[in-house]
Amino acid sequence: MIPAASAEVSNSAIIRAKIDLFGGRLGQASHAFWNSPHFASIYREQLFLSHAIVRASVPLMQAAEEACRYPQHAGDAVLEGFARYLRHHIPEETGHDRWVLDDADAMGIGRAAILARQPKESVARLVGVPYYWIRHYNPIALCGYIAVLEGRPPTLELIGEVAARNNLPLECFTNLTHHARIDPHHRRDLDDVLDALPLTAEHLALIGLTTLHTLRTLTEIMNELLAGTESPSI
Amino acid sequence: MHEGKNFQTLAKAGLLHENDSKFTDAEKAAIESLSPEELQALLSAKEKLEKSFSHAPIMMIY
Repeated sequence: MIPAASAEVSNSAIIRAKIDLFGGRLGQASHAFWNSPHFASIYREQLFLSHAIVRASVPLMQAAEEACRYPQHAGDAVLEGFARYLRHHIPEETGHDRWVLDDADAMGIGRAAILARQPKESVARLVGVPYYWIRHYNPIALCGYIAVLEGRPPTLELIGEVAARNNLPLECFTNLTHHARIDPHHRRDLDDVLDALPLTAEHLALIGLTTLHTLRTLTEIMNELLAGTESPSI
Repeated sequence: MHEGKNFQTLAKAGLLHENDSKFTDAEKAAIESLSPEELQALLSAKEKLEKSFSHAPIMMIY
């Protein structure tokens, strides 16, 4: 086993630094989203995309928890610790897809329309790649996916400001407001686990690769969303 | 100037545009901990390190 790359810098600090360094394009696309003059239109599409992603969160974690118990991982202290984190975190994330559907109802889209529409290939790729790493190599890869998606939630102030600017009631933003409250805690929980686990350089490299994939694919999804302002699908 | 191997690879590819002194210790460690596969992913995507929007809240959440 190769030891972790740096004894002076924590695992979570390295992963967060990678997200900060390589997440600039996602941040730029997100900035354009929050400030779009077509926000009310693209937010409808964002709800569809968000639901497609969020409904996979718990199944993805369940798959990872199950994979941690595969015979080939027996006695792996890192995966035993990660599985404990997942068993704690899965109930915390359960039902969040319904918040998005509630928002779709509030926006007048209707949850049935969200559920009936075929998810985009880019979303399937976002979620599908972690499945591969989890099932066929090492479930610790999921840390990179979670670290990105729970890493930078909007604040309540930003959501309120965006809602007011676009004449939308806060009832249309329950998913985001819930996450504004809980994700900072969830981020700390994940960072604590990352720092407590005896991760090797190989673990950090796999988490890093998943982080890069998640950042890149989310950026692609965001740019597709922003480019489609003229012809929203819902 | 930072002399790390990964830093030099990224700089040679034109993917770093900030002075090394602006990088924190964690960022330097993150760059030098990049595996060959991560480096290849960055090089193939020609992703420039860009911190201007690195703290913008994202709206696709878990």
